[in-house]
Amino acid sequence: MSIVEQTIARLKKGQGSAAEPAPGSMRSTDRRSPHQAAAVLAKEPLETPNLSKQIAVDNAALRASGYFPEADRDRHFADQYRRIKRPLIEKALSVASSVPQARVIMVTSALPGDGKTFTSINLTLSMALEHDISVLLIDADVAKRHISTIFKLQNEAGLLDALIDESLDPESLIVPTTTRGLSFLPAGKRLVGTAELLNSNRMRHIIAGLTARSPRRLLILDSPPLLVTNEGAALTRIAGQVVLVVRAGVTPRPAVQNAIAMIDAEQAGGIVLNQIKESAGEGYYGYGVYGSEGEQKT
Amino acid sequence: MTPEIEKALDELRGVWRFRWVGFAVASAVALLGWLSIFALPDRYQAQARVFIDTRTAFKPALEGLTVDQNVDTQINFVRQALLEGPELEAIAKETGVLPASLTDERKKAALLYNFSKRVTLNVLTAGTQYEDRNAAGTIYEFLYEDAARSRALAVVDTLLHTFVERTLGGKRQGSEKAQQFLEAQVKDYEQRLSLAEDKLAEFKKKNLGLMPSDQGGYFAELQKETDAAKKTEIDLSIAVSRRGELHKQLHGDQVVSAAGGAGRAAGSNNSAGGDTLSRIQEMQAKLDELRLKYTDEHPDVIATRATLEELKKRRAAELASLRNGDAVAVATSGAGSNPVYQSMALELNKADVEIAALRQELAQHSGEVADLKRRLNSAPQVEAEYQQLNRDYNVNKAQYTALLENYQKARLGERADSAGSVRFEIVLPPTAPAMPVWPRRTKLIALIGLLAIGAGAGTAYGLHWLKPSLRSVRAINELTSFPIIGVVSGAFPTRERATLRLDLWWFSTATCALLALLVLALLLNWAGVHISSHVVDSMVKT
Repeated sequence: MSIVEQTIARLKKGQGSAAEPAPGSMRSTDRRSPHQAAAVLAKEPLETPNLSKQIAVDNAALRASGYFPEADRDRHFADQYRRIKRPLIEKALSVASSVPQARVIMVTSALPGDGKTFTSINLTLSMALEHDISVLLIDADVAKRHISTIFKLQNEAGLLDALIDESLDPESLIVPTTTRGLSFLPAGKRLVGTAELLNSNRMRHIIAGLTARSPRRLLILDSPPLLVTNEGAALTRIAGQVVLVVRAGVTPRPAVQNAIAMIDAEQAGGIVLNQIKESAGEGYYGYGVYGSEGEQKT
Repeated sequence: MTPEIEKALDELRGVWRFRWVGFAVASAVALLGWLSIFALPDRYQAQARVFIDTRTAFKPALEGLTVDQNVDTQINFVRQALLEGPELEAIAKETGVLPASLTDERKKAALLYNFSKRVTLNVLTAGTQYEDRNAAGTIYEFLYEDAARSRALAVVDTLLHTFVERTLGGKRQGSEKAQQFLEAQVKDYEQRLSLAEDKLAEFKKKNLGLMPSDQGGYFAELQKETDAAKKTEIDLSIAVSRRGELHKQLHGDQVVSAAGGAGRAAGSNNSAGGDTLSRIQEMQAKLDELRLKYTDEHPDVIATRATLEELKKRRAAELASLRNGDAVAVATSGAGSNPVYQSMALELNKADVEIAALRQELAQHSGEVADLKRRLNSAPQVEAEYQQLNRDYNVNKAQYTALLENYQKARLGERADSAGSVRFEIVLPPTAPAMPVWPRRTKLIALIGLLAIGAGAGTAYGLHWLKPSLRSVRAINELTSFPIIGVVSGAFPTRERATLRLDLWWFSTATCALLALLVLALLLNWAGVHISSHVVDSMVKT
């Protein structure tokens, strides 16, 4: 809470100058095509009014709804997510010049219930702690829209609205938070044929636009499961890094294999083995052993 | 921890995921199994044993005196007849296994088949310590299983009695048949034998004297007679030549002169001798004496000389007649008194007799040979005919004798059988334990319990196998080269642990409940509770 409060305070104190990178600096580092840059420039003034719907991230509420670990697990979790986010951020920033999509991180799983939303939220929160980047968590799981519900944004216009209405600026739909460098894009209006929409050029444009806004902005897509929806498969086309959440002891092996088969090797963000059981005292599944191993793999 | 143990533990944890499914399957199997065990109809087994001794004390006593019927064959036959076919149907009807009102052939066949399946006949050899197993007798064991104990007993009882009756009855029947047959045959052969006897007698009468003798047949006799004739002929010729020689010697000069000389010599010793030769010698001596004293002209000398002359003449005449064999001459000549002469004459006489006898014999043999030769055409035929008749007779006689003997044996055997040459001893009268022989519920309940556990574990394992999960970084590394960027432990260990504890509590409680149910099932079984008893009864009645 203290972090959030501090952030809010900081945001209130020096709005737009300290927290977010200045539009000017962003433009100076922007190496994209003039057309895209022009588009970004054109939408730039629209960002500020969004502050009106700014929300605060309530960790207690998150914890209560099961998307934030128990109080005494905080540190442990922070460590675990720190390890996970590190390779993702490194890849996103280092290769940004050649693959702008690398900053689009898709969090998905083979089947529902493996912990995509949990991972997206925690990864986003962990990334938001970084000083150099800002994170935009997009609720791309348009069918279930957990993110939107959790942050009480289910009635807000969001991604789908932008997809069907080309005149709508997605940037204007972003919901900023009191946390520095953290904002949301809700799912938006309920629609049918979302797979086609997510697969459309418009989607590409929106994502491109969102990434183009700032080279330090990372997009995290909370996606539908790969194997049970078409939306998931559609989203892999626009994602630069795909993080596959595998629930330890639950996700069937063939499902994992099939999901992996749907992900290109260069998109491979990595696997997050979720909800590993820690036998009390033994530490068999202990983070120390496998965390380092996981890091070596990356 | 070695990778193998890790892997095994992983497997176990994977299986553990499906504990509730496994438990559900186990409970379902156990409940259904136990219920059906209680619903299983009881099967009572009735049992009876009969000891059959085919070699009682009679056997050795009557060895060879009776016709031995193979009792074992008969027993086997009855056994087979008893286990299938109309015999079994009769028993089934009698004991009520097969209701008389049932007319549906297919149902009937099915019932009978079922019935025959439940009937068992075991052959146990009694006393394996004996070298000859048959000598020790055989035990036949009848087993029958039925839902109703009383009926099981009835069936076994009927089976046992039918078996004994049929075996004995069949044996007696066989014996009677054999006797009838033997009797008929004996009569037949008796007739044939008397016929053959008559024929033979008739033939003998007709061909009296033509019968071949004991020594041999016609040809043998002919040969013998011819040989005898030849031998007689030879003997005759020898005898004739001998006689000729004797005769020659007797009438020869030497013999005559010797006879004359002998007479004189004898005469000199014997003064009474008055035969011619001695008188000649006397006269000669007298003449010589006279001539000494007188001249030749002396009358005495002349007279003596004349007498001597006359005597000499007489002597010559005597010798001549002797040479001719004149008996009187012999007597007068004095040769008869000569012993040489006498023995020779005797020999001659003997030879004459012998010749006469041989002649007679030869004539007889020749007659016989001629007679036989005359019969040359007819005799062998008669002989052959006779032999045939004789053979027929002998064969008939032998057969008749044998049959008669066997007939007597069979009759004796029958009498021995009815006196008990086969011994039936009911070792175990029809009995049935009060407890059903099947199902062995205690065992089955335990077995079902094990089966349920197995089914539950199997299901859990099968599910795990069908839905293998990944529970460690190692497992993922084995699966794919996809990088692992991290692991996240459970976010709510306290809550999870509580949940787990609750789950474990429920699981153990449920398992205990199932075990309690097992104990309950066993207790109910020992208490003798069945779901089935009246249900089965109603089923039996229909």
